This record gives sequence, structure tokens and C-alpha cells, in this order.
Amino acid sequence: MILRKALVLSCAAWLLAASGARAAGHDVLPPGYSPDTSSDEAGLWMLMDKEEAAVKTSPNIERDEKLNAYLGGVICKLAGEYCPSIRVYVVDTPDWNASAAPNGMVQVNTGLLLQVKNEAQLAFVLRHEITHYVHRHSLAKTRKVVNTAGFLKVFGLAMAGVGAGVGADPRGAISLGNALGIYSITAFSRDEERDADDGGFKRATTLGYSPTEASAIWEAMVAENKADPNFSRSAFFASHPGEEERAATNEKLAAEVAPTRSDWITNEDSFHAATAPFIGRWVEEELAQAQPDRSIVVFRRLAASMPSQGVYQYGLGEAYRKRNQTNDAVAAENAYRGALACADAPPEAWRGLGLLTMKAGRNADAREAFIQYRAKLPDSADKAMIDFYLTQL
Amino acid sequence: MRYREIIAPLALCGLLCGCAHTSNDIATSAPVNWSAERGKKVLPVDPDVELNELTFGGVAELRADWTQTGKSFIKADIASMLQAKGIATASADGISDPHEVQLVKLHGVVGQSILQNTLVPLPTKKNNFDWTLGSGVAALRDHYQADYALFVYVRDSYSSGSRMAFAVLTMSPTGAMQTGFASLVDLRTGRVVWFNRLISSTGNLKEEKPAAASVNNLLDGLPL
Repeated sequence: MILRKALVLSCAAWLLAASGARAAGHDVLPPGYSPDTSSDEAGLWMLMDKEEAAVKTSPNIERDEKLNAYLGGVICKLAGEYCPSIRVYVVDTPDWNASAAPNGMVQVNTGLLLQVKNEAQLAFVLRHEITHYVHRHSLAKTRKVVNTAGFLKVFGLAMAGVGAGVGADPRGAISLGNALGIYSITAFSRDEERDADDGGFKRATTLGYSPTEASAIWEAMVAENKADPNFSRSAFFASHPGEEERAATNEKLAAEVAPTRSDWITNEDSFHAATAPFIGRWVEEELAQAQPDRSIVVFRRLAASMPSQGVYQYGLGEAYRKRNQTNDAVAAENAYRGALACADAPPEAWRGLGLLTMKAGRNADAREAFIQYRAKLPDSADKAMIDFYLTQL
Repeated sequence: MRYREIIAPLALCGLLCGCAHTSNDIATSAPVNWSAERGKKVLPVDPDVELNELTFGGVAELRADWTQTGKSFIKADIASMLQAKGIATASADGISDPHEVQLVKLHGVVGQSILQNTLVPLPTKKNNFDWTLGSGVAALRDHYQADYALFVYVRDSYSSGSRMAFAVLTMSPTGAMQTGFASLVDLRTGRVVWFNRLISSTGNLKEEKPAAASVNNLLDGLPL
């Protein structure tokens, strides 16, 4: 009985130690480092090398030389002395994210490039990821999982001794031990995210990136999540701190740093020069996610901040047309007309307008719009369909 | 239930007897008549090997050093076995062509499906072994001038000291296990003409002799 008590007590102590271990004590990667092959870190790198070999040959990688050279340059500047150890891959997916693997593989999703307004906004996100790499967060998390699994094994034995099992119970509820285990891992992960935000902010502002741009991406995410009827998250088990918290932290930091100099940069022009050839495709990929509630928020923001770029207003029109709720048709038509008034009016806005007005029974308007579309894009893939519509109008 | 009928003896065998179990599948509708195929060439594709350490709590951690050692033994054993049979081989180390990489990945997926099918067979795959990678394998045939490709996939795990001690103390199994499969693909048709799976609770790919024994089991019944 005494032995059992001691086991339970030692387990409790272990858990406290395990959940108390904070990312603050991270281990900074020495530049040019490669781990000893017998270490757990080498195993992690090997797994990532395997993943990288797959990424390298994936058809979903955007290989455009100019875009890659531009992003490589930005990342190299952000990574500083770690630049030679980092490889960048542009992943063609609308899910807006970026990541840095422990072996130095950095992935930047095209969705992120669509959503940020300038190089400064991108820099804060990228340096956040590079901080994960420099502070070896993946390794710390792996060790945390290993320790927690060990804890749960002993905790389970002890609790079985006092008559409480560990593991999912027959009704499907999660047990105390597992809940504590998951909580301690996700709490650890949230602290690493805070550490990466902090490291990202410091390095990017040192390089002169405007601190007021740091919170923009989190504010955008908050707005998108609020608009998304399918979005839900549990704060207890979340691996990242809430976007509200991150936006607020970044704003607070920005208020402190902003007055220290007046020559902050955003590099908006070079960012747009590098991404312009792809925006049309990335807009279609955002729309193809079939999440019009989110897309409306995205394109309203982008159209408002870059009103001369018709492509964003076209995206907004498409999102409204596809959502098709009360008043969406009016909003869609306004957006299409706004897009067509721009110098870079995308021909697809004529098609959207045609489909919208055809549905409303405004045959003359639809006809005019389809004729414009056919004239401006004579070889479009959907020309047969549009020609058929024209015979019906 | 069929699943239990198969998995129970496998698990029993694996956990209790500490034996190695292999099982062959041959595409009877596309038989290999090697002796009639003099001069044909085999392409041994770089084996997919991972050796893990099972931590005290049961997390499998990849060990880079063990994996490198194990993989080099497996490669050498396969090469010497093919050489002993007098089979001409082409070398395909470090495949980097995107299409060829996709073919290797495709084989990984098909191989896993075959493996799964041996446990829970699809109704359409009960009595016929007719898996294929498709005619796209012609790319490998043309590049390496080979007629067959030999794929090997191995996963092995070893208990850490603390896990082993705990297992001995509580008389519970460690869960360490060697699993794998090998398959022979006809590069003229894409058909998987031979498939062998291995499951074993013993073995040690970190050392030369036991590694050779494992490769022997893995290639047991190879119709070449």
C-alpha cells in the first residue's frame, strides 16, 4: 500500500515536472550544425530528409525561378548565419501557412503569398518559422512526447492500482491521465509558438521590417475564422495560442518599437513584382476550396488594400456568387463591375457577370457579358459551354 | 471473422514464439519463367528501411545510425544473393528523376495495399493476385535497361534499455517487431509478379549475420 502511494506521488511529481518544462529553456542550433548519428535528433532529421526528397520531386512545387530566387533572398536575409543550411520550397496550395523542418527544409504555401500584402508581413511569418528551426522546437516537442508517454505508462500502472484505468474508457470519454498528457504537450507547444513569435518579431524588426505589419496576418486570421461557420477550436487542447492573443502581443511590441526609427520598410513593390504572374491562379485556388465565407473576407480585405488590382475584386465577385445567399447577387455584381473598371480587368469577370445575370433572367446583360468574355479569351477551356449558353439566350 | 483468423496466429507467433513468419504471393496469371529468360536484368531499387528505438513509453523513434547500418547490410545481402544466382543487375541508387521517384512511391502504396489485403482481403482480390503499377514503369525499364525491379521495404524496432527492463519486470511483451515486404515487378507490364511479407519478433538488422538471415527470409521464394 505504501509502495502504491509512493508510485502515485512520484507520478504526480513527474507530471508537474513534465508540464512545467517550458520552451524558454530552448537549445539554440549552432550554425552549420549536424547532429550525431546516434542521437534522437539525427533520427528526426533523417525522417525530414526523406520527406524533403518527396517534396523535391512533388508535382505540387512551384518551380518558377524568379519567384524562388526572390523568396530565397528574403529567407536568406531573415535566416542570417543559418542561410546556408536552409532550403526553400514553394508549395502550391491555398492553405495559407509556412513551416520550417528541423533539417532546414522551409516550405512556403502559395496561399500565404496570396494573403500577405507586402514583404514585411511575409517576413514576420517566415522568421517565426525559422525561429522554430533555430530554437529546435521539433526536437523539444518530440522529447516531450516521449517523456509524456513514459509518464502515462507509469501513471496508468499506478492508477490501475488504485482502481482507475488510463486510456479511453469504454464510453469513449478521454481519461484523466490522457487528458493531462495531451494538455501538457499542447501547453508546451503554445509556449513554443509564443517563443517563435517573439524571435520572429525581434529579427524581422532588426532587419528594418515595419513592426506595424506584424499583427496584420493574425488580425486577418481572426476575421476569417469569425466568418467561417465551420470553425471551432478548443483553447485547452490547441497547439497554437489564439490569433487574438498573437495579434495583441504583436501590436503591443510594435507600439514599443515603432518610434525607435522612421525608415521602416515593407518592400511592397518587390513583393508584388515577384508574385504578380501567379496571383490569378492563386485566386482561383483560394476559390476552389469552396469556403466562400472565408474567401469573401479574404478578397474584401485584399480588394480594399489594393483597389487598383481587379483580380481581387473578381475573386470577391466569384465568392459572393458561389455563396449565393440573400443580397449576394448584388454584392457579386458590384464586385465584378469594380474588377472590370480596373486597368488589369480579368476577362473571367465577364464570365462571372454573364453567369450571374443569366441566372437572374437578364438575358441581354448575360449575352453582352459572354460575348465580351469570348472576345477577350477566345481559347478558354470552357468556350463550348459559353457558346451553348449564347445559343440559349 | 477472417481478419482475426489471420492476425491472431500471426500475433501469437510474433509475440510468443519469437519466430519469423514469411508468406509468398505469386501472380499465377503472369508466371515468371526465369530459366527461359536468360540475359534478363534485374533492377534492385534502393530499399526503404527504417530502424526505430522503442522508448520506455512506447514511442518509436527513428535511429539514423541503426538505419544506415541496417540499410547497407540489406543492400549488400540483396546484391550478393542476386550475384550468387548469376543474375545481371542494374544500379538504381539515389533515383532523383521526378517520374521515377513517383513510381517508387507508387510501389510503396501498392505494396502497403497488398500487405493490408493479406489481412483483410478485398472481395475482388481474394483469389487472384493481380496487382500492377501500370504501364508507366516503362520509364524505369528504358532508363535502366532492366526487365524486373526488386523493391524492398523494412521496418524494425528495438526496445530501449528501460523498456526492456520494464517488460522483464512486469512480464509483458516489449512490442518490438520486424516487418517488411519484398516484391518483384515486371517492368514490361507493370505487374507485381511476386510478393513476400515478413513478420518477426526476433532478428537484428544492426548486425551482419542476423541481417543476412532476415534478407534470406525476405527473399524466400523469389522466382529468380
